Amino acid sequence: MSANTYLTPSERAVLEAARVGIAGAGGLGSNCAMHLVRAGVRHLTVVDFDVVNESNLNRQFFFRDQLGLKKVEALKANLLRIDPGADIRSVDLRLDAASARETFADCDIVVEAFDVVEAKAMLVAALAPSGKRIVTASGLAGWGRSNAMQVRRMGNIVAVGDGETAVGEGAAPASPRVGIAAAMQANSVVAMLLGEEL
Amino acid sequence: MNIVYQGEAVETTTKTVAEFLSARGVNPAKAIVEYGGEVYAPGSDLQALILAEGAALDVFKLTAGG
Repeated sequence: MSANTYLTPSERAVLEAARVGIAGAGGLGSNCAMHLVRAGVRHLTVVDFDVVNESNLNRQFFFRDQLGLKKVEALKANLLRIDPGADIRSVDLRLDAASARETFADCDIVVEAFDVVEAKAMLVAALAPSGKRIVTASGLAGWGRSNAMQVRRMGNIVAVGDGETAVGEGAAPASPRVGIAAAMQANSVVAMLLGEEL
Repeated sequence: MNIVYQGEAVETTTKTVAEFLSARGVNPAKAIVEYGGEVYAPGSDLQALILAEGAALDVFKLTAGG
């Protein structure tokens, strides 16, 4: 991939050296990973157990000819189309606390990108006490209210979203707002790696 | 007693962080809580955290979607 020429050599080096974990390759994870690779992050560990299905195409970074493929493999293929030299470690696994700690042990930052609340809580509870930097997202359903989406730092946790709106009846997981949250997660990761303000 | 909850002054008669959150329907198993400069991961035991006058309490609720 052609590097972003607006970055300094040292900024580029920091981004290229980092490894970022992505827990979940759905609407948040697939789009966040895309942004990170375009931003210059070259080492990702992506974990998911699911396959691409029709209902994912309205918001996730997959394509119709990838239906039925493992999400981690499909996402890896798509990311390598952006940066053929990227090191994408694909892990086909349903994470629990122990495997999360092990899988993300060498990651500088982990992006929580699950859709189920209990899984989100599990990941944060598994990793936060060790001081691992985590970027979590909640409150991204529906339409509009872009200004309600915020980034909050809580110790080693960065929390993205409005923290209120759950996906459910009357609050669809729609591409624009899920995409905003995913981009905010990626933006936070890049800022943290570069030592900039969130 | 008055505390600062989510950046706003709030009056409460509850004694602990756990009681305060319960009264507001916040489930600590599905929330990140910051109180007294400490961050508590989802599922942390908040029963022992006594509310103090003027203390700041912040919560980020985990919700479905991703």
